[in-house]
Amino acid sequence: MSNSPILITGATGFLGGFLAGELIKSGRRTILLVRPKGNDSAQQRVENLLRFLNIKAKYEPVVIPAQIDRPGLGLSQEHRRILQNVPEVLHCAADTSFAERKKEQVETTNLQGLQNVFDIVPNCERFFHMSSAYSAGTQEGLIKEEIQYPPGFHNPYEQSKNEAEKLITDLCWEKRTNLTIFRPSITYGDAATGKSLRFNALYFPVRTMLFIRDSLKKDILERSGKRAAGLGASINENGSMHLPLTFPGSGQLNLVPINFLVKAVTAIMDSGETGIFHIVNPKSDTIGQLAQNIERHYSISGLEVADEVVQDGPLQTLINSYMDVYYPYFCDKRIFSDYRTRKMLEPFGIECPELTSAVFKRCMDFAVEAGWGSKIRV
Amino acid sequence: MCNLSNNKQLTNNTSDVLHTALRCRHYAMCKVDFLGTGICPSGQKNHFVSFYPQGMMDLTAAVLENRIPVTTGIVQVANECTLCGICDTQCYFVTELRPLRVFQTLKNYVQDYLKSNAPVEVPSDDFLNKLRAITGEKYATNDPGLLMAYSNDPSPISFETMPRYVVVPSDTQQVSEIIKLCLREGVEHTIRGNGSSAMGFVLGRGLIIDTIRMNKMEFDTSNRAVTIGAGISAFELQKAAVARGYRVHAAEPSALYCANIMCSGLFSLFSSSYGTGTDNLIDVEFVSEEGNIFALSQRDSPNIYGFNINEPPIKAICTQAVVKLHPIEEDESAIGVPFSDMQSALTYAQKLNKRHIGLGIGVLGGEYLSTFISPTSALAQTLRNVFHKELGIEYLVVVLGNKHHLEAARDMAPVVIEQEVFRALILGIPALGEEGLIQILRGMEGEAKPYELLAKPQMLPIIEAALDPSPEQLSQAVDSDLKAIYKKLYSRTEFTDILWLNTFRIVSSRMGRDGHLLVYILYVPLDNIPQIEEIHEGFKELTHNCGVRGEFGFLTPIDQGAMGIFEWDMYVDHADPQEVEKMRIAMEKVAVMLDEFSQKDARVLWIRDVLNKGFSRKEAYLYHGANFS
Repeated sequence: MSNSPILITGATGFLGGFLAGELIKSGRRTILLVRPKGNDSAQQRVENLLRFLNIKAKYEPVVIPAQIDRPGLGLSQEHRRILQNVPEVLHCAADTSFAERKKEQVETTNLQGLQNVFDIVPNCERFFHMSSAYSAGTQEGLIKEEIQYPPGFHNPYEQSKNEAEKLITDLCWEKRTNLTIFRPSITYGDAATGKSLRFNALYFPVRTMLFIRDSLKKDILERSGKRAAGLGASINENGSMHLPLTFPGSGQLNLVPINFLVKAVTAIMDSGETGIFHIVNPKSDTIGQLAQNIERHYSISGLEVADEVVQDGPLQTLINSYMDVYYPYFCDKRIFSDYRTRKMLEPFGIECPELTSAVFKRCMDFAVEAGWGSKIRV
Repeated sequence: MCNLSNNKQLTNNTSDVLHTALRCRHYAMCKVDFLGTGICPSGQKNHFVSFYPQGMMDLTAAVLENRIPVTTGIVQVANECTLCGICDTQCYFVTELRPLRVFQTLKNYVQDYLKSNAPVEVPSDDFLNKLRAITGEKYATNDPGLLMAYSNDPSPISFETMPRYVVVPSDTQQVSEIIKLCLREGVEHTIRGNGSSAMGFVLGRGLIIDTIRMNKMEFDTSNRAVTIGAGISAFELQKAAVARGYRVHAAEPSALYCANIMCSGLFSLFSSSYGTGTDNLIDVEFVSEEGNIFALSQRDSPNIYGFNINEPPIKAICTQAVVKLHPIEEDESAIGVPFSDMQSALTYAQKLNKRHIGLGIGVLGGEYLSTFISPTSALAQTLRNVFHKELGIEYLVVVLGNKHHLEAARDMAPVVIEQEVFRALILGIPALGEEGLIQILRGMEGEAKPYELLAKPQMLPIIEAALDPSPEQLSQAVDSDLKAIYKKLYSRTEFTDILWLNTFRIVSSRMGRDGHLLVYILYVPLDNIPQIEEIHEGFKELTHNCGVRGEFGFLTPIDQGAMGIFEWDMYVDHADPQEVEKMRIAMEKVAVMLDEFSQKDARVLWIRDVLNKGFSRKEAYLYHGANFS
């Protein structure tokens, strides 16, 4: 393991936070670029992160307040000098918004931000770039671990991640910097502890279901129940809540837990390998399994899966609003080859665990406990 | 005199009472029955503002701070107060202040004082005797205890000015005689409406003429007209008009209608169809500087309709007005159209007005919206966050109209929040701040903005299930002893009816809940929206730099989208000298900024240019650049 410092961006985000935690825990010297948030300084946010991850640092991370979408990252001369000779960068900062109306903001962070970070480390020898499996865009079928040239993209996020891969490839080529690109699929919490820092993607449908369940249960038990009845909801004899809802069902759902991602990424970083690595689950899930898990663990019935959703009642409107956005990921026609990744990880016995019913419950229970993130201050 | 500072240390309790007493905003909402719970009986009986809660707050503060002696007038005020509590509900509804304990303290204080002292009695004088000869004994006074309530104003640019006399005449003839008396005796006079002029221009050292008793109101529905005396408030006029199936164009409910026109002209969301200036007046009666009575309909009357930006207003007292009645249709209602940027909101509002769509149109800022519909300041703060950060609503265009207006407005709108959704949001307001519905909407991440999802008609049952909107739910937000009365108030559908709330405007005075409100009204051309945005940004920057709070209020398009009435508000704790000083500096800078805008574009007028010229024809000032003079 190298003892030279590594610069980490996005260190208080989901992937960057867990990766920063692991590198700090393992005794790496780290420099973290962190955006102050609300009343919390960059330093405070990192302290909160380490407390959340329960990590004691052997070497205290050097925390530098920064805004990557600003040229020069808004750094002081002193901080620029510190970064002058940084040999390694793990770039995790990203804007993960999908909406077209946020395109400019996404491009600024994911493209201009990347350029800004690269410019600030003129002597960088190795650049680790966190991309996404979904930079493959609207292609279907097998997606290889190489730069992709898809016919289109589902949203500005995918496009920005694809363009960022090309940008960083060119930048590293020009400066003879070693480049490793990681492409994770949908990432959820730690399969062992349930911990997570972000509660969208897999979590949001569950959150929505529980919100609907609790609101309507209250209506039935504490009020007249007229509103629940109007929505076709009722309480079953066993006390579970019947919600007449349909999920779009074809295709697959590729999910990896954050603890696997951390192990895989750090192992590849340590290996010195360059190139592109899919951090994906060889065994995809389905939305049907997701619906089953929600029903099993959260006293809900009535969830159906169909190729085409025709129902358009109030509850379905709410679910569809989300599913419309996540459809390409929940009903995925892409198959991600992880040949290079598996080849790297097999010698270490690192495998992606399944999203079992128990793991699902552990992660969702943590999310509920954490108020879907509202009680976590990082 | 009982020297409180020497003889009794201010207890914490007294200190709290004083804190409340000093913070009356003088909005005079205690002088109108806007909740249907009655009006202060002592005020109604005795007329002087000193007997209304507004004046009693001032008197109590002055007594507790040892600024005035306990006079016979103050003893009468204390004795007449029955502690009925009407004021407590009214004042809490508007400002969250609880005046009842203030008046209990005043009564206790006076009672203690009288145990060992006699009240100070101020003898009458010749001028007062002459005044009383005109109005009757009890309608004129020189008692400093009663005068105190006419001596100050929350405006940062006004200073305490003690008058010598106050008179409450009953009709035009008495006003005429009073003016002639003042001329003869060399006593200066100041006319006054219900509260304050918001800028402190109703103070004077001589005689204050309080028009509250001039309460004539005669309907002539065959001519679609109502004649009102200068003591009629906008609320009582509107209430009487609505009861007859009509609506008048009225502004602040507690403002005396005639004084309100004189001060600034009437403007509201209804200005987009009912106009402003003299658009709603059939005739007006005045008493001139010399005490002569004249009506605008007389061919030889002074030309008050005219406007010249450089000339001072004509000094005449409006004593009566004949006001237009507008018929109410059965299918009238309201919708809200949310926007995330000012330009889109203004463009939409202007388009509606150009096409004569809507009885009323207003682009409201988030501050306005959240403050209006929240029963408490804390909830308003939460709601601001919900509207702005969570839902992305920066501006809401409220459209009032009949079903045909609203159909057209819906057709032209990107998203519409219907009346029923507003009702659910208002009644479910305590739950809006809790984790749940709003976070779910925000988390959708799709192309639709969170507010677009909220506005979908299919969402209403979910909103209702999540918020459980009901009078009970809303009442959870208020002080525990007021829950029952709030439950009753909000059981009345009008309290959640956007059209009714705009007709009677009972919640607009909540703007002053967090401090005294300084209102900057501008007339701006709507063909230059970037200029409006520039003015808005100028206000924002200036208030930020001066360390004062300010927010965009509203903009109403008028005269077929040619011009807009634009309001920007600044807030000050008028009892905090440091804040007042900061606000004075800010006001000076605002004046410089607005003058610069007016120099660049003469069509930009601001309140200072039109003050006390409210009887001018709107065309005469909106397009004053085209006048011959």
